[in-house]
Amino acid sequence: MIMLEKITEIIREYKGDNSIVVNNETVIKDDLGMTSFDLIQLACSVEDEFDIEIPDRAIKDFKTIADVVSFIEEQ
Amino acid sequence: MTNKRYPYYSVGEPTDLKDLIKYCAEIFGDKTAFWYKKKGTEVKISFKQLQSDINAFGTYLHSKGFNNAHIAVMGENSYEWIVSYFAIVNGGNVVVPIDKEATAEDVKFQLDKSDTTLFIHANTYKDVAEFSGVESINMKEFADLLVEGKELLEKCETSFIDTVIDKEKLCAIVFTSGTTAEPKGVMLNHKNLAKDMIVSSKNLFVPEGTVSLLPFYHTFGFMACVLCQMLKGYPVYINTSLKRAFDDIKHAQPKHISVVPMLLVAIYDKIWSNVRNQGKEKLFKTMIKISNVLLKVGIDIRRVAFKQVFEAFGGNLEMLITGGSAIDEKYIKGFRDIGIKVTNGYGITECSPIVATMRNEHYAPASVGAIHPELEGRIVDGEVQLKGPTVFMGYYKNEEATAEAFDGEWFKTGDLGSIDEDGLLYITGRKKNLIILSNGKNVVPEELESLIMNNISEVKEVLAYGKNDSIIAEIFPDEDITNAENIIKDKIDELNKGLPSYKQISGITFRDTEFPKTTTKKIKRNYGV
Repeated sequence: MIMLEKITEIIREYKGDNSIVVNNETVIKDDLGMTSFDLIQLACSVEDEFDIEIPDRAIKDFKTIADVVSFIEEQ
Repeated sequence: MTNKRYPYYSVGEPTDLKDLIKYCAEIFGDKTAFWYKKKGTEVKISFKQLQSDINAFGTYLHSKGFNNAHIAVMGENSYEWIVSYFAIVNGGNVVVPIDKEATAEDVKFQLDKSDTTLFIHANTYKDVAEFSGVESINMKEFADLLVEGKELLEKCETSFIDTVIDKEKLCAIVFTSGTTAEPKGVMLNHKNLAKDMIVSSKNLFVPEGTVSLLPFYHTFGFMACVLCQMLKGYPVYINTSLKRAFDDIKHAQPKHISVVPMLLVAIYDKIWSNVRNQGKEKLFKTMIKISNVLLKVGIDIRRVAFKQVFEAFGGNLEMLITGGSAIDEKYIKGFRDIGIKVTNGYGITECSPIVATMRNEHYAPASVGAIHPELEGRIVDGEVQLKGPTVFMGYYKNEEATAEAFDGEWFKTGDLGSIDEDGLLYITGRKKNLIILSNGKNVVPEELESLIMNNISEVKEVLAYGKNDSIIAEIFPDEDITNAENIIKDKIDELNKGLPSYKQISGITFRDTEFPKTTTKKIKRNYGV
């Protein structure tokens, strides 16, 4: 749950919109209107926040917030 | 439009890529060629060190019997990637640069098709190497292999150093990203690559210092971020991942950066979002107005007035170089307003790849610049055709495609365009995308797409195509704007009024996701339309 809150915070800060609410089913590109480049920047913030490394290859597999959460958990 | 033709810039003229390494070591010696961070520590590599590492790794490859082989390289941008490339081509081998976003199946296909017998890869691609079934070297072992190569050199194993380069012989097979068709292996030789590096540098003067944001596997990335920089003795900060793009720019303080149009837009958006987040949008717009008025009377206050913007990009950024597709003029103007020059260009892998660039003092905003010296251009039935030393050797083991691509010595680019009386090239679209209507009229879809992108800010992406003898625009609207779809419909009605009837857009479809793209971020036109 804390992880989801942290991810929500990262997305809110990136988009400059504090009203954004996400859950595991949120589809990053469709629901949040993010481009491939936004996704790369998001991955960068997730790396810093959780002190992990996300290879570029893994980023393109991030479709939903659940994908991001499970990647962080695997690390 | 600014001044017309003027003399080319003077640069060194190495004959091949081995001569380039020798030239750089002799002329620039201990100066930094590449710098980057490795596990948090900053590493600086001089031109002499670069030559020494290439000699060591090339000698190691020769000792393992790789002296006339096809060798693939795959990985994120890295110093090891660069050394591998030169160690391959300067030892009489052929390099096959692999798209780092390709799937394991695609890689296997390309390795088979190019007769590759050795696969050099970053540690992150070891699964791809295993899947390929080809003998491989993991870049993780690089330091040990350099030691081994240096020991061999000390024992007078000089076969790599003594290799004489035939500049007309194949040295690279580059698979095209293919927005519409199956990838083909473009064959390039030393002369193609060395000449493109020289004529590109003669055409456009770039200020010293860059960050390599473009992928090295892409010929434009390697040419713009590595070869052209080396020729001038300029240091390159190696960006290993776009995740670190903005951090690296701030750290390396480049004076110029080469980018794909998508990144150009991202940088522009970041500037404005920073301004908005600081609550200074109104002030910023006023400053631009004042600055532009002063500029007209010859007073340039941009670097002082927009100091904060420059600091976010390291403080020195003067030029952004882009190519690959048309840029909305709003970005060219937007960057110019704050003192950053945007230079567009045109390239195609088959021409090694850069063909034309806007010159520093000779350009027109809508053009992709002046065709390079030593390269001749002509227009046949609307198609741009090119002849000269940077034109490729043909497609690997594909004589049919090669024959189709040439008219005698002239390479048929498949791009539609024109050349004006001042020698500037204009690209309007791809010949194969041309919409041919039953009344005999032809419509270039890219022209309509540019028109929409330049006039309707609510459109994020658009693709135009023909269906049942009429023109359809498929649009990905800006979802942050309320009622975007209705606004777009109204604006397209307005645009149609200014178009001849056969060019008018008669159908609009909206999509709620961005278009699928190639790895070079171009929209895939055949994604399912």
